[in-house]
Amino acid sequence: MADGSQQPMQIMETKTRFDVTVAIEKWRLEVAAQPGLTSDNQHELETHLRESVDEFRKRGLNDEESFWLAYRRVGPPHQLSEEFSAADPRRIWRERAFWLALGYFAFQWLGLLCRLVLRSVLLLIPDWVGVYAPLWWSSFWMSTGTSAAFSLAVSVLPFVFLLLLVARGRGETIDFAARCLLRSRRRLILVGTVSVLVLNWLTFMSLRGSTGFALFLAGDSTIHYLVPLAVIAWLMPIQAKPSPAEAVTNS
Amino acid sequence: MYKTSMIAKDLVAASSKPLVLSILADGESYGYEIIQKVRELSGGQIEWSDGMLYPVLHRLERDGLIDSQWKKSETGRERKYYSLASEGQKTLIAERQQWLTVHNSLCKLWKLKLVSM
Repeated sequence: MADGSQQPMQIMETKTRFDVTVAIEKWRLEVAAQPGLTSDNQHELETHLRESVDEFRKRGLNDEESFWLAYRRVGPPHQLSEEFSAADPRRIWRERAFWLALGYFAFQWLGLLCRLVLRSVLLLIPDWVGVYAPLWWSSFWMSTGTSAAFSLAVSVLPFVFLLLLVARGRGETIDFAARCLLRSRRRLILVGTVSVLVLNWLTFMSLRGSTGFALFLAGDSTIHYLVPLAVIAWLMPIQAKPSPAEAVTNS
Repeated sequence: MYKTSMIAKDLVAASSKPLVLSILADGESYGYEIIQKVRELSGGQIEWSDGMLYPVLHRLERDGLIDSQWKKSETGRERKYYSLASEGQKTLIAERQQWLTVHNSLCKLWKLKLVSM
């Protein structure tokens, strides 16, 4: 019986090889891209899909048929998202607020990092370069307008670049980083706070004398970074356990 | 022909709560099993789209009627198991009363045997 059902499947497989693991992974990514589904929801739906696939396989269907039947039963990802959102519309707004706050934080953080990098690069340029530079060159750089525009560009452009990457679907690396960072509230707060304090401290050191230490703690870091960070942690969707690298059981 | 015997969408939605609560009254279960059970009980006439069940389960959980817990099953697969909370037990009794009232009213009209409440 088993041999009988195996043979036609093997013949079919030689034509176009269908990999259930790949298909499920694709489905998982599609579901992950939908709004209104927490990772806990996604994990639960994935378990369901796998159970369905296994059930159809047990009934003797091949991998491809089993996957598509299970897929149809669970429903297309966009419909799942609609059904989940309709059941709890507040959550979708909470999620939007979360991304808004995260965007604000990313903007601030990236600006801080880029300004620091720029300042470090400028500090590396030896003094004698200034001596040999033409007068118009140094006066151009010394003017308040230029430095303000330059500082603004350094703060804004990297963020615009990041947004363009995400908008053009080149966000795999960012997605991976976000996934690691957003695994738990504790991790987000820890990594966020430490990185902000370190960056702020380095900035403070590079500007030593121009601002007071108390100002550094009370002003910049708290208002611009740590408050949004606390809001993000509060808004953060509750995360499921690590996504299972569950092998499809061959039954 | 098959379509006409299917239960209307509104009725499916309305009956999902007592069905889920009653299934869980028999012991904890998970999404896939609940759907299979409903399909089996209704002879396939109550057709839930699988994805529809989860928002229902989550709403019942938010209302404190059921509890959930991720657990490893005997096959080693992780599943989210749902169980009836004590509040759910009370709701189930009330739901049962209401559904039987509707049922008996219709039975009287159709001159069928009543169900004791």
